[in-house]
Amino acid sequence: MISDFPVMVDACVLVQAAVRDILLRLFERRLFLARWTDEIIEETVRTLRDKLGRTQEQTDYLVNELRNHFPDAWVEQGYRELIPSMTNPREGPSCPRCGRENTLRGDREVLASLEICRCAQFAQLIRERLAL
Amino acid sequence: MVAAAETIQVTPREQEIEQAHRLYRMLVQEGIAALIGPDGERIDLPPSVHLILMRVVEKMQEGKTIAVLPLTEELSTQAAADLLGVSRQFFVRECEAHKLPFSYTGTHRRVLLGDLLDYKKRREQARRDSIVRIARQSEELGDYDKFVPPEE
Repeated sequence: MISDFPVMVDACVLVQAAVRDILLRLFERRLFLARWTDEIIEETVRTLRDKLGRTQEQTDYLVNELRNHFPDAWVEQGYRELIPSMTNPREGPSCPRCGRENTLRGDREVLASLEICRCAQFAQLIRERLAL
Repeated sequence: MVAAAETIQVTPREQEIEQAHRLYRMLVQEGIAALIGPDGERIDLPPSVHLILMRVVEKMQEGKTIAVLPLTEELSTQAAADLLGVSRQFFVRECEAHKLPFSYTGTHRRVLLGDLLDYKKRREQARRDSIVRIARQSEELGDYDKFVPPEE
């Protein structure tokens, strides 16, 4: 499909319930393909416990839902060698609103990031992909 | 994506999109539409053909690629994975876990389009239910009102 571009969703995104739950809905509608790793999920759980005081039971609940119903989001093999290339690139067109660097990598890779202008870019990307 | 003799797959060109608009406007009108052949013969569209044609041009006017194939079409695991937006490896594991029926053609696994669409529907419903449960937890814990500042 035209919107079949994978997005690596980092822990800093997954810990924000409002952003995470909206992204899951977009993923469910296949407006993009969410991807994460065991390490990202572990960091998410750690942060939810340390910063929001979530219990083991509460984080297990979330992780089990993700494991049972979004198992295709897990990137299992071959991603470690890609990590060096997954930092937000310093080149590329900048955000027209605030001048920040673009987070797009090539044609099919996006690193979802928390900053608002990058969320705006993400929304822009989805609009472009879907030709809305 | 799907490669089989029975499958028709087309992406409309620019001028065809405009034609699809006009066709769609024609097909959504009340009443019976008909096709006129090169020899002038006119045949009314049977309701089932009308329905499928309307659906095809509806999507073509949006510039979308269309594939028409029977529910009994056998798909390769790669074609099935593409249709779902998952990796082939992931899809093969789903088959092996008997989440949907499959058969072998020689050493290659094959799934029926009908079975695949059933599986897709079940999976999507389960996802929506899961999202509702996750959202309920977020709401109960008051997490929608919380912002976790990033490290650094």
